[in-house]
Amino acid sequence: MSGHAEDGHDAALAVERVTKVFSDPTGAPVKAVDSVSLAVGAGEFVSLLGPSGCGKTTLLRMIAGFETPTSGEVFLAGRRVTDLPPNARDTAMVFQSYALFPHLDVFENVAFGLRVRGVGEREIRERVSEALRLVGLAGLERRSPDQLSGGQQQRVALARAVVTRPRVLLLDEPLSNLDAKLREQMRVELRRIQRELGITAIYVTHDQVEAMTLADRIVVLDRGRVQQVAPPAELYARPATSFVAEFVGKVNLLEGLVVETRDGQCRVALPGFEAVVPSHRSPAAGAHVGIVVRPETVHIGRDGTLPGIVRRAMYLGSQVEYEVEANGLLLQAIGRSPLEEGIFTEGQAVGVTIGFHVAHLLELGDR
Amino acid sequence: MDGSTALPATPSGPGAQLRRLLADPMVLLAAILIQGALLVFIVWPLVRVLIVSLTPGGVFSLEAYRDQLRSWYVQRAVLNSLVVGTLTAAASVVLGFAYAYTVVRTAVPMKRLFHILAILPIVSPPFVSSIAIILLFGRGGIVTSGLLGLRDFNIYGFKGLLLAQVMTFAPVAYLVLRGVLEGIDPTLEDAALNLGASRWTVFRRVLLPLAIPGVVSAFLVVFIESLADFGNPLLLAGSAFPVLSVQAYLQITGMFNLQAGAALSVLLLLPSIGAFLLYRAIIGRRRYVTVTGKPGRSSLKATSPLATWLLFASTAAVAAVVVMFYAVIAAGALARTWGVDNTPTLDALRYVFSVGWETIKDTLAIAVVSTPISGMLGMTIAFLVVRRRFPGRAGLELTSLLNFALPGTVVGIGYILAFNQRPLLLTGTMFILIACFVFRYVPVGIQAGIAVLRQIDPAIEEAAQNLGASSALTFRRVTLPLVRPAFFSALVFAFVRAMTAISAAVFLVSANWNLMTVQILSEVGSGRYNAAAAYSLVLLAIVIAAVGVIGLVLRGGYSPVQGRFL
Repeated sequence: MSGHAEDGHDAALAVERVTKVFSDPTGAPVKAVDSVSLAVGAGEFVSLLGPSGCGKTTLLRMIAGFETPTSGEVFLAGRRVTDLPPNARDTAMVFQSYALFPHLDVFENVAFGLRVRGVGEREIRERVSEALRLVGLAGLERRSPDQLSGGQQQRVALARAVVTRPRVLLLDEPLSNLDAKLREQMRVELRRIQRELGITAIYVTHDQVEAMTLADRIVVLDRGRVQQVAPPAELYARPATSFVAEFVGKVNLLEGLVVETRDGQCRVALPGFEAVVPSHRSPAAGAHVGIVVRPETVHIGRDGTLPGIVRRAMYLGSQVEYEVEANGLLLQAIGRSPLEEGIFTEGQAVGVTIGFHVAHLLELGDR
Repeated sequence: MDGSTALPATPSGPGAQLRRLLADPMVLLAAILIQGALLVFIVWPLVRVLIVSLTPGGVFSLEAYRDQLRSWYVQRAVLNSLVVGTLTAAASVVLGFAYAYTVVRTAVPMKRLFHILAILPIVSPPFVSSIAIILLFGRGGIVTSGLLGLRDFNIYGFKGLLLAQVMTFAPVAYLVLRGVLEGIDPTLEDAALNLGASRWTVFRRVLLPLAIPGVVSAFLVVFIESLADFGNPLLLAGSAFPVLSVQAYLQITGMFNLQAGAALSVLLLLPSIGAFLLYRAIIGRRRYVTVTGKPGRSSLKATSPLATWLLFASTAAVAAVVVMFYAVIAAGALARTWGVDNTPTLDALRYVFSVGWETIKDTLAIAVVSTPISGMLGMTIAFLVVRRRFPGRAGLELTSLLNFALPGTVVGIGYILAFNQRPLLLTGTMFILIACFVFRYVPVGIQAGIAVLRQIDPAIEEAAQNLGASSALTFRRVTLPLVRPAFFSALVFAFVRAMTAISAAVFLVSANWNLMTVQILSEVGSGRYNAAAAYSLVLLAIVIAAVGVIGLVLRGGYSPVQGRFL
């Protein structure tokens, strides 16, 4: 459906070794974005994910043209646009604050981009109605933005962006101002609309759940640098760095030393016991590694391979989150379906089984 | 990278900055043109005043200053100006605070009327109080000689001037403090009450500390205005009570001594600039608060009933004095000969519309031309300062605001010194008056524009650009409609001041281009009080009509903050 564009010049959007340096208040240089390269294929939905201050919004603003890169180039459909002002680029942005024009009604907000382009009155009417139908706001044309709910404002912002049929749709944390229920609903809507239009989209967020549910590929950024680019499932199963492992989902990162590697299996010495973990690479004996164990692969029950004690239990209805101590390790675990499996209480002795066969090995280097 | 990191704020190096500017030549062009105009019409006249006062006989010397300060009379003028300025500011702040507190923080009747009565002196010529005081307490005054039968009561001098200035400038303090009090969230007071503080403690420990920066800036604003005031002292101070602004004027128009006038105006300038810098330092630290639109109205419980009625009584008393002043102006305009024969007649008004018709037309023409220019210039500068980055941005803002601190006397003298020879030969033309008004009153538009723009999410303008609108189109279609309340304030202020200005304009009028305010002063000078009152009445009617028209033209549409007057 959405093949990656390996060669930047065929891509709908390509960013090549882009760096942005700001000055902090004392005048010292700060690299907000550090030599980032990225190619996005037509129709692809890519999410830029990272904590606040990781450079994701700056990168998006350089693609839109609101910031000029200190070095590096930006290409839209193979055309170099690095120095073009925002109004000369074929991108449309949905802002975090929506940025609806408060002095214009819903219709005129959506029509703005078409009027600027000199589109005829009849076509404007057709395209605006179509866009409003797409986002489910038909009939609200004459409302002013402050008469709309947050979710409706969000939809207007989206309609205003897609009505101009931009080459790339840019979304800057568009759901962060909505409450949890609405956010979930808009996520589904957004994905549907993007698929329906086949539009290329770049989606900035700090919410890993949003990125996982929406994106074809996720770009994880930390301190201006790309940590990993991968589809959601791969990102979760095989994080490239301990940062990615910890930022995307919950994790038990068990540190140990490699004993030996054979037939794609790696034996790792942990405090008090050894674990066997699959590994494509062959880390040398003695290498310092981290084993990425997701909490849902840690099972607790009456029996298990390790004896443990429940230190904390947090009941969430559909599941129970545990912190369990085993062999001196404090592990996060998840107890599924408490209605069927029951709940262990704090202080209770249990058996712990760690799913090392689905764990992932990270080489941590020397410490 | 490119070693450019010492630059403040966002852009990353002169290379990128320049590239960006060239990609947006409209902004660069506007910035250069405005910068040039500010240099010619604000900085250059000031420089001329300094040069002339510092080079008597063509070489640098402090002779002119030494000459002036050696004179006992000038020493008194310096002292008088400072004392009157300080006392006027103190009294205005006290009155203005009580008045504003009553209007903003208590539930008393007639608040709307109180507000309008406070606005009235601001839209009047700055010496209307003096005329009213003369009509009431002067030699033929209805109170002093009519009611009390006093023969040798003398209102001229210190007490008359102080009264006139307080009545003129307390409304300015009121407006500043009203804004300050409205900006303090009443839920803070509710919280303090809830924590067990008494009402008096809440006032003393919560409201007052929060209002202090505003109180100090109101004091400084009034101090600057009082120092610069020309009309009131000319009419009321008398020769026994010299003040600097009048002495500078007399040196130039009476003695034709440009050097002495320039030196005196610089003496006037120094305390004004000092007060202005202090004001900027205080205002600069204040954050702009975004209007959230959350219902935060308190139930106004923080004032005890006794305090409320005391405040109401004092506010009503001040309002009554304002009513009395304007009533006596109206009566004066309709009297045959004030103090001698007070029977009503339309003679004075007829005189104004026949003999004064040309002056009315001149005044209107100048105001109508300078108002939109000043308004647009203010919005453009505010936009450039808040939203664009270019070399000299900070300088642009400071230069444009500098004019606020310059006493009109300094500006007037500067203009006749700067524009009396080719290639800038402007004296005696309409253009010199327009230029003076545009650049003198643009700071209010700039400040209002900056305040409104800072409350508007820049993403709204980015959205327009992102959708394909150029800089110019974005400014016209998005920014301008959004800053409409500030634009309204700028236009109203520019028009009102163009109609009522006197201290700079008195140096710039000519046989061809005369102003109503100057005419009013000369009528008072010739003892034709009823003509002066009639002129004042007509002027006030024009101003009120014009404010209505501007309001109608800019009516409706979106307004992020209540378009506050001034």
